[in-house]
Amino acid sequence: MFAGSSNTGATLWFFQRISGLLLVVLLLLHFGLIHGTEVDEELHRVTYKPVAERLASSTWKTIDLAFLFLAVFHGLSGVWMVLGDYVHRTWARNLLFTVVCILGFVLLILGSVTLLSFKPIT
Amino acid sequence: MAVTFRIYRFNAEKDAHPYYQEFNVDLPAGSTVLDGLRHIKDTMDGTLSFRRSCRHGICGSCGMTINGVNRLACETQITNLRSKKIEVEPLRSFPVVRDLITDMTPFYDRYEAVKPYLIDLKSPPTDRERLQSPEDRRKLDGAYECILCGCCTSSCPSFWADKDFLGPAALLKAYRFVFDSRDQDMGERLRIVNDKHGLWRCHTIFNCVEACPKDLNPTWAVAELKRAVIRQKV
Amino acid sequence: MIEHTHDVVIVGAGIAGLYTALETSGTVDTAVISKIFPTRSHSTAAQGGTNAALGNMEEDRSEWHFYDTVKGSDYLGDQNAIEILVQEAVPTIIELEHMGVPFSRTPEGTIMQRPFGGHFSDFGKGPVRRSCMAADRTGHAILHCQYEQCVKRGVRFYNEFFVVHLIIEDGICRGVISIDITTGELHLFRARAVMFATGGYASVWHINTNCLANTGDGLSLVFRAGLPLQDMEFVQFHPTGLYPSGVLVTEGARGEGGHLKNAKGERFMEKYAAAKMELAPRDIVSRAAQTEINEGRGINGEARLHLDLTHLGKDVIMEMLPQVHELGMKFADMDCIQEPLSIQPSAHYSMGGIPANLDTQVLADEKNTPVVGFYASGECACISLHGANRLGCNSTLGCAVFGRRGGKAIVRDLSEIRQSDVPEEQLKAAERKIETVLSGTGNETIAGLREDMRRVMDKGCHIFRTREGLEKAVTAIRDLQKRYDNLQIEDKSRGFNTQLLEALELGHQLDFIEPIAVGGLKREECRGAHWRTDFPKRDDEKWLKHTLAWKTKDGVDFKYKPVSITRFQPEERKY
Ligand SMILES: Cc1cc2nc3c(=O)[nH]c(=O)nc-3n(C[C@H](O)[C@H](O)[C@H](O)COP(=O)(O)OP(=O)(O)OC[C@H]3O[C@@H](n4cnc5c(N)ncnc54)[C@H](O)[C@@H]3O)c2cc1C
Ligand code: FES
Repeated sequence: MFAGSSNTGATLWFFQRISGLLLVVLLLLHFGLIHGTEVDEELHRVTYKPVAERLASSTWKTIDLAFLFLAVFHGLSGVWMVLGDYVHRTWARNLLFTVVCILGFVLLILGSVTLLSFKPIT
Repeated sequence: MAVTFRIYRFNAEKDAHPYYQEFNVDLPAGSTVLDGLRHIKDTMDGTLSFRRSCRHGICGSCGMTINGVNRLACETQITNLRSKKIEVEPLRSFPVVRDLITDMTPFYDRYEAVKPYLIDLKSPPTDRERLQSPEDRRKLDGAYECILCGCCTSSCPSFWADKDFLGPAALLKAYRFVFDSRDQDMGERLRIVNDKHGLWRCHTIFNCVEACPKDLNPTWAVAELKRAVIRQKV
Repeated sequence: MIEHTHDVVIVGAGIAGLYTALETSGTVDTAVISKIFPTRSHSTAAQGGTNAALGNMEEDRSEWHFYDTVKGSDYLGDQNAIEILVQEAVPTIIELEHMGVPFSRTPEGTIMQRPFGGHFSDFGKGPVRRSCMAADRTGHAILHCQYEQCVKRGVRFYNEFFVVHLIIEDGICRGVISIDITTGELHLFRARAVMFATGGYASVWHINTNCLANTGDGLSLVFRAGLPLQDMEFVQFHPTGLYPSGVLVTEGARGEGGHLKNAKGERFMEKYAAAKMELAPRDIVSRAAQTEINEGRGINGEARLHLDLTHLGKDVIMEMLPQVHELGMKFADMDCIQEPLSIQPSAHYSMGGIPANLDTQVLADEKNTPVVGFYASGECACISLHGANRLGCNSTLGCAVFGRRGGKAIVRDLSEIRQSDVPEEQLKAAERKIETVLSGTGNETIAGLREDMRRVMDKGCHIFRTREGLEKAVTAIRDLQKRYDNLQIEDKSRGFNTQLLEALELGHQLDFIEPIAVGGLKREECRGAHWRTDFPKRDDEKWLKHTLAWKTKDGVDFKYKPVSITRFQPEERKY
């Protein structure tokens, strides 16, 4: 067995570190935009317009899609590990694993559909 | 000082199920949990069974769960527990043999699995010691002092869940040799620990660090090993 | 009874036993039996170091080490054996390093060495750093490394097997009988060669540095088999047992520069060994410490003195003496960086034991007739490396050097030894021994007898001895032996019956304390650790000889044999 083979867990571990790092960058960016530059100066809150304008660009769509995928994978594989350590009954563990997988799948579909089909109202 | 011991009891020759038994004892100030257990064995119930030898925290015989935490009975001062009630149980996740005595075979098997010995492919000089710089020697500090008490591995949730997991003690032992400048088979040992029941099963829970009576840091050692494996590949 | 047959059976998995196993296991079928898991053997508690005149720190020579050891032994050590000890010290330490022992290192990368009591350069003149160290965990480092090598070589272990009987018939050793502690079953081990490496016996005093497993089982088994024990009256008290429990604070603490002080804050060693001060040999420092206490200069008038390390500073303490710091914190609630540690003399090391020759063959009489197929090394043996007083760090050395020599000797001798039969009566004897304890119905308890035994030893056979005290001790010991017949234990289970083991161990202890007391009573002189206040001089004319004690029906029989003196003639011992 060696690192990179599918079953040592090394790949997952490495992916968790890298995705973690990327998520930090993306999160900072996200917060900066939503709570900074896209805040309306008079109303003191985020308004539809700047967000919609941004999401009209396909570059931003790709970035947000990456954000979505990384967040779902990072979060749920973390939950997966916790379940693997603390749920000892095989049937319960398998059940919860299935729930996690379905949840991840649903979140990804829902998020992707929302992002990709988004067209700003003009 | 007056305290109550609540002790896990089980003797397969007599008991269908384990049970807890309470003993009220009055011990001199400065007594350790081991002193308490020996007092009970000497004067109240001679059938109480536990392992012990050195009585100063170096032989690693007396690892047990005391008020929920894995510790060495011989170096746990009763006053430091800040409780009048002392619950003593065998190390969890190892099969219980009798009372506080567990079958440590799974623990020793894992230790042996990581090839816990210096591998020198080139023979050393014949008439003198191998040289090792103080800096290289310092890398072994915090790794060679392990007393094999089992407190860490028994406290590890990943070990509770995965009975094939090498566990912190064996991984720390692997670290001790991987990072010994005199050892010449880093690759082989990394190959062994690079396994889903090896390094990667450690989820950095840090229970082992809290449990270790010798203040060693297996979690850190595991992180170093993970890094070494990845570095080899990248 | 379950039977096993091996070429070599080694009883004991400390530094001595494991070294023998490493020597024999490659060539002959070897098994190691130990009542505790090997790395839990008491060798792991050795703190300070192991001697070898490597000269890594300054010039050092094996002949200086030779002289120091002979003088330290108060001239009772056999010089032919000590010469081998010091000559093989260097290659043995180097071999241990090659096995992987994590010794501390000098800036040049060689093995770090520290000073210890009684070791000097140039035949007793200046200080010398001779003790090879792995911080203050040297025994742990060596023992674990040896066990690791045993794993590598696939040595066969029977762990948690308690040897209860030694089979000797017609001057031939045929094996041992042992309890499998986990199941309680008896196992017969037939062997062509048996090595005893069962450790020391200093646990019969209240305040001692030994582990609870150091109950001298091996000695008693030999004694009961009709073989003699040698020089049992010589037991070393270590000056710095931690107060109150007695666990050890290594002499390395003084080697690194620690001072001993009494209640007045005086470095009292000035009065007893002005030239060498705290680094005089242990017997001298222990007597000095006990005198201070007896004369009321203990701290607060209590039976304790101070070991002051505060001037060494945090860096030295944490680098060189980390375990001492830890022990102070955990067992005395004292931070030795900030305040002096409280210490007291504590029974530590047994110089006496099973008589053995330079090849570790056990000797049956004063003519040095070897027993066929029976060997002994380590602290349980008396090859008389240490004579009347052992120097610090010579013990682990003796275990390693003679464990190794023993292994080589066994491999060499084995071609001439055949497996011999084990008579039925021997098996019966072992079964009877256990049944007697299990079925006892009297009103004596283990704890009661053990407490009384320690009281007797504390009173009559301590650092300072008198005829009156020893006579009383002898009577009291015989009384204890009788009371042992009325012992009753509660635990009748087979599996992991630790109470049965404690009872057997106590029986062993009550056996071998008799030659300690009677031997001490007979030896009317002061030599090394044996100090008779009623005979305050060393008497070479009468007593420059080894004691041999045999167990008889009504007591102990004594014979004596000469000391080997090859190079250094006895002189007055001054430090
Ligand atoms: C606290 C302390 C510190 C010390 N520090 C130093 C030091 O710094 N330097 C130094 O040179 N020396 C030191 N010594 C002395 C030295 O450690 C011992 O003399 C030495 O380790 C003894 O080793 P051994 O191999 O003879 O026996 P041990 O290590 O005591 O091993 C005895 C073995 O025999 C086995 N055994 C005993 N009885 C039975 C039985 N009935 N059945 C089966 N197995 C049995 C045990 O299981 C064990 O494996 C120190 C001693 C103490 C107490
Ligand atoms: S008795 Fe040795 S570690 Fe507790």
